[in-house]
Amino acid sequence: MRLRAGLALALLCLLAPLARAIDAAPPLEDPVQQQRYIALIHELRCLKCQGENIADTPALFAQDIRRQVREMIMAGKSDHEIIDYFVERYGEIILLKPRWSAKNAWLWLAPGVFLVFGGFVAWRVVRARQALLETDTEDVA
Amino acid sequence: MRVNRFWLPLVGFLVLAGVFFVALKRAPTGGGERLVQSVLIGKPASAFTLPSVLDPAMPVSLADFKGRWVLLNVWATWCVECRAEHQVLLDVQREGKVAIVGLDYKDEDPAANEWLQRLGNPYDAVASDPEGRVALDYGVYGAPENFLIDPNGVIVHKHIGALTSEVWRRDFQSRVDGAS
Amino acid sequence: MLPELGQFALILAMLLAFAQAFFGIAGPARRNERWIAATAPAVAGQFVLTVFAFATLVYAFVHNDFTLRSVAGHSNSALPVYFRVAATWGHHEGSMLFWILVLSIWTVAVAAFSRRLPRAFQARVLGVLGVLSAGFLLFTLATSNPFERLDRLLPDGVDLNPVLQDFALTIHPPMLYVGYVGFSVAFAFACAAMLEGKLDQTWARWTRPWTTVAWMFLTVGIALGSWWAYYELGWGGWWAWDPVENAILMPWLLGTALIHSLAVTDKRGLFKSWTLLLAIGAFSFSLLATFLVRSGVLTSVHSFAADPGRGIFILSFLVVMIGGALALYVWRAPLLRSQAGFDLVSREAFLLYNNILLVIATFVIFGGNMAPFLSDILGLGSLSVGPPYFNPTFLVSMIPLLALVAIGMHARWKRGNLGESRRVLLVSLGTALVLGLAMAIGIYGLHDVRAPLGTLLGFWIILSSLVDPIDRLRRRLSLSAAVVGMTLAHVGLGLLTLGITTTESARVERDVALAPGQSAELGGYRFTFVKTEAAEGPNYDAVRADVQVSRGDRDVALLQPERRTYWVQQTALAEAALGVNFRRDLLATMGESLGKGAWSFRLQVRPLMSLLWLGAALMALGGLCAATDRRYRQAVRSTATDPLASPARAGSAVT
Repeated sequence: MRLRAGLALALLCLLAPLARAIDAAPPLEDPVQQQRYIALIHELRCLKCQGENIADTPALFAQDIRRQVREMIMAGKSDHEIIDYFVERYGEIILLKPRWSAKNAWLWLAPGVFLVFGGFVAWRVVRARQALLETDTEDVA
Repeated sequence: MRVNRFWLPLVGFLVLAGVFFVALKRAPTGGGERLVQSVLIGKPASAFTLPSVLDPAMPVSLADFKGRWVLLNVWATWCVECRAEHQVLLDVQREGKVAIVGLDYKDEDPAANEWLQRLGNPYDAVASDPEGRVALDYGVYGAPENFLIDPNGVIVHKHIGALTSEVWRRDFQSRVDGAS
Repeated sequence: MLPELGQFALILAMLLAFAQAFFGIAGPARRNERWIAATAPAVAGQFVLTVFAFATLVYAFVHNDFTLRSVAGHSNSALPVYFRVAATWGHHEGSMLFWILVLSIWTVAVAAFSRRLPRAFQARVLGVLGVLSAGFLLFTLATSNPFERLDRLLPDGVDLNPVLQDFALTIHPPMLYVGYVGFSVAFAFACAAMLEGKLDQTWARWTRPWTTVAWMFLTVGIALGSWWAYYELGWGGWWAWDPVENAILMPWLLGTALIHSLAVTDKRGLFKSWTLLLAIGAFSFSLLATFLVRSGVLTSVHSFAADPGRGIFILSFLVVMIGGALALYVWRAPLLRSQAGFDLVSREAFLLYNNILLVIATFVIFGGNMAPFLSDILGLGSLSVGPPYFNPTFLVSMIPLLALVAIGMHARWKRGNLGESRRVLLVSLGTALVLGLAMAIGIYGLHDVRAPLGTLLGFWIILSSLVDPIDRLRRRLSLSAAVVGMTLAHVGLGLLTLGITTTESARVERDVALAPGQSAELGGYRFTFVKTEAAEGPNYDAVRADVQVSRGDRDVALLQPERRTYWVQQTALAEAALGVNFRRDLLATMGESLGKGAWSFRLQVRPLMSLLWLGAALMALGGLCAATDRRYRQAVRSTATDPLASPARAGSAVT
């Protein structure tokens, strides 16, 4: 029963976005603030839905979050403070972009580390193969 | 068997498989909505003052209930599961162990009043939160949600979803009884 | 009656699968000719039985047999016939049977089209596929029986989820399945080679066409899914980095690396280790995807109902298959050293960088995908990872890759030394730079500093791909299917890059409330809401809006988005309307009725969106082309010498 309700809810959330105006409020006057607003609402997650962001969902919850973000921007809060505000109340699960912290560091460092390691592997392999060119007499078209 | 780099893929895979096994053993049955563990547990409940649903001129504050255990129930007339848990709330009210404070979430007062008249009012006080601002402060993202706040004003438990008598006994009443 | 027969057929199929596995693997091991010969008939028998079983299930759906749990749970008599057929695989149990069917088809194809393989080797390949089939059949019969009867008769079914009632969604899963299940063939070839202790250029030559065809289907499947999400879900998103989307992208990335790695193994007997691991890896991630969708480890729009019990069964099976293959790798890989050499800017080197970058991309996506889950069970709290993470981190490995593609195409085997190609490359780079800047800044205005980089890379890849073929045609030389295929695929990649860059950096969208007669300006177009009218479909009612789009004083498109209410599940669904041409897509999605005839809309203009689909289509077409190259159909004389020790030469006169 739980499962069905949950699935129905999830389905509703999938469909709900299509049921209403997404962002009824007019854009912020200051374009920089508007940029920040757009960026932030794409980084926050709609917890009532399956992995959607706040920007593309009209669920009641998302509307409230957008209003809160807008008000905080206009009140002069920094992006950091706004993110903190939500994380304090909902936990890190409300972020679609993991925060930079000790436990998330691996997520953000991984690509760079992989690249460096990959480069190292490439260098080693190429060096070894270059050495083999001396003895490799095979004729390749 | 020399340990060389050829073992890496197999070992890596087995470690990953082990992790998945552990996860599956621990997983509760069913999917649907992922339960979000509240990060507010152990933190002081946010103070608020809102107009009462019954009479907008009367303010409802959490501070009014300091010194008592409080069940903060987030509900709405548009919420189907809230209807289901209403009877449980009435039962809890009868037991009288905790004060029940209702937070009417993103709702309309007339509808809320009609609901309470028709189904009974289990609340010691019921606050109107049509814009969901207080709810946001509590990390609420839907209805129904239930918070247990201790006499010192600290949130000790949160339950997402309808309150059943079993959940009440197991997660809420046990904590109230345990402390006294 | 028929479903019971179907179930019985499935049980027999499973027994035959076990037989196939036994004969295929034990036969060559014991050098038992009769056992080896028994493998193919087992394959054929299993195929026939599986087709029959699947046919009975389809029949049950089409004829509304609601005594079956699957049919009652996912279909309805008001559902149009073609969706009833699609509902057969639109749920867990049916899709498992579909998985088995697809595997059976691939197996039969391998049995039928690889007569030229040595018998023992072919038996091993079929044997490995038999193990797979047996495992899946066992799992399906034990935990996910599609033929299960309900104990009470329901008058009608619950209906197929309306979101799934769409044409693209009827073919998206089949294409995907044919694709990622198809990687099982490469996996089986790899295992067979490891069992035999022999892996040479001939082996690579055999494996290539199968892998390329599977990759092609997977490309189409992913593109279809993306396309569906784009026009169905209504806000123009085509890739959400959803956990299950990621799960299917990973085998695709490894599959891409595999087809390139196979080329090196084919040509020079190098990268055997890479190729083996990639073959195991591509299919392993396919299996992983199957597992993730059904076990409840991930929650996603795509997930079937979660069930940890099933999850453990599948996971155990995965450990046997993948663990087994990797154990074989530990055993045999040390013997695969080749003594061939190559230089820094040789084609081999570029394909090495290609392999590395694609594998990095896969691992990055895997990490991001698994992070929430890992964080949860390690008690580190909840975490979620979405597009703001995946977009930048994916690009970290993709941008270098795209740059290297343009160059690598011109690198020669072994020695490299770009030589005259250097001039060609510089000219194409310069041209691409001019074209790229003109497009990103001149045509679309610089909205995003990354746009010029994307257009530059896109144009460079396209130009670079066309240089050689055009040159050959000018000299009146013929183009082999392989070269044509490669060119098409790379041009497709370039177009895809251009499309993605432009549509993401230069798109505009707005949410507006419009009363009839009102209009909104967006991206140089005027969207005018004309009127609404009622409409009806086979199983839904709808309100349809007419939105006239004009540019200047010309009418450009009439968009007719709908708000549908499906009768059975009583769910509301908005159908987006698209106006498509090469230059841009126009989208309109209805939101909510605001009273007095006014409605809210989301409007979008997406430049060059079509290039995405065109690019993907060309990539798939290129794959198909390359797979049909003559050399795969020519008799290949297997090397007489032991290929394990020496730099294997194909020896024969194959190009």
